[in-house]
Amino acid sequence: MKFAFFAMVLTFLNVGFAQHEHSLANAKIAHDASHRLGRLVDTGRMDESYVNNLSSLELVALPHTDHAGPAFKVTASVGTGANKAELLFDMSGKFLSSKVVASAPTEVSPWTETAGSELIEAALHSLTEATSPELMSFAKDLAKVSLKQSKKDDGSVEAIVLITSSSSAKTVQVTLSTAGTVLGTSILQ
Amino acid sequence: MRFLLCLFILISCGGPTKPVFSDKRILLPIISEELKGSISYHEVNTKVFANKCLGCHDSGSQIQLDSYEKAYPYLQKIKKAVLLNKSMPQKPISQLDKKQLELVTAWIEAGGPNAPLNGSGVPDEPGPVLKQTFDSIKAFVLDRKCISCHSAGGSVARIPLVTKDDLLNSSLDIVVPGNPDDSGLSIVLEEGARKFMPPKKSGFTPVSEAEKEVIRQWILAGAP
Repeated sequence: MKFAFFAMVLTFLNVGFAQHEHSLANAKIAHDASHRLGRLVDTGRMDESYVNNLSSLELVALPHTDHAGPAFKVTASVGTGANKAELLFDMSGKFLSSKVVASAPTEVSPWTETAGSELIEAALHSLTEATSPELMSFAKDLAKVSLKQSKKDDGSVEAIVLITSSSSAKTVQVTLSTAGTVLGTSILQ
Repeated sequence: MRFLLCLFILISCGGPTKPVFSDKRILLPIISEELKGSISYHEVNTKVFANKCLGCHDSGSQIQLDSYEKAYPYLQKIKKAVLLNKSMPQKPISQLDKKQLELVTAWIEAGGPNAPLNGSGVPDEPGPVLKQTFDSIKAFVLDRKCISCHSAGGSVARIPLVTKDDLLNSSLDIVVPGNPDDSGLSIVLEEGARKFMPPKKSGFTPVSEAEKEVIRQWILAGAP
C-alpha cells in the first residue's frame, strides 16, 4: 500500500516537472531574445545593427540540471550573418548573459521604416498569440526564425518571416508590411 | 393663378431638408439636488479625470484638467466633449461609466464648484502627490498613461503593467530593483528611446521629468 502511495506521489511529481519543463514556448524565448537585444542596444552594450538589421534567431535547448543554469541558447544573426551574438536564458525564460561570437564591419540595413527586430517580434506575436493547434505547436518547438525582403510585382517591398520547428518539416511564413503590420500567415509544405 | 397657388402649396409642404428636431436627443442623467450640492472638483478629479482624462490633459497638454484653476475655464468644453458629443475620452481610453457620467453632469450642472455648494468638505483640499511607492506610481502614471493598452483586452496585453508583480517578475526586466538604467520602465520613458512610451500616436502626454525622477528613485531604492 505504501509502495503504491509513493509511486503515485512520484508520478504526480514527475508530471508536474514535465509540465513545467514544457510550459515555456520556444517562440516566447525567441521573442524575449529579440527584446533583450533591443535592451542591450538601448544601454549601449551592443551595436544597433542587432536591432536595425537583425536577420535571424536560432534557438537550441541546452542540457541542464539546475533551474538557474542556462537552458536555452539563442544565436542572433545580423544581415548576412557576419555578425552574431549568443544569448542564454534559464528554464524559466530569465535572461542570463550575452556575448558577441562573430564580428565584422556593420552592413547597411535594408529596413528603413521598421527595425528588423521589430518585424521579427511582430511575426512571433502571430505564434505566441495563436490559437490554432498547428501554429501553437510551432510556437512550442520553434527552432529558427529568419527575416528577408520580398519584392512584389509592383516593385514594393514586403517582409517575409520564415519560422521552422524542431517537430515539423513544414515552415510557417508570416508576411508583413515594411511598417510591421502582419498581412498574412501561411504554412508551407 | 391656380398654378401659382399649387406651386406655393408644394413649396410649403416640402419643408426644410433637415428636420428641425434631431432624433439624436442627448439623454443626460437626472441629477438629484443632493448630489449637485455635495459635488466638488476634487471628487470629479479623483473619480473621473484621474483615470479618464489626465493621461492626455495633464501639465504637458494645452487643455489642462489637473487643478481646479486650470480645469474651470473649460467647463463648457468638458460638457460638450464628454456629455453631449461623447468625443472624449478618446480611444484607447474607454467611455465614462454611468456613475462617472452622473458625477460630471452633477458638477457641471452645479456650475463647476471647487468645494461642495452645501458647505461640506474643504475648499482647498490638497490633492494627492506622486510618491516613491508602487501604488502612487500606478495611480499617477501607469493607470493614466499605460494600462489602457498594457492590460487584459488592450493592444499590448502580453506585457501587462497592472500589478507590482507584472513589473518585478517580467522576463522583459520591466523593473530591475536597484538598477533604473537596466529597467525597461525607466528606459522607454526617455525622449529618443527606441520604443518611447507612451507612443506619440497614442495622444497621451509624455511622462514629466519630475514623474520620471520619482520612478527612477523608486527603482533605485529597490522598488519597495
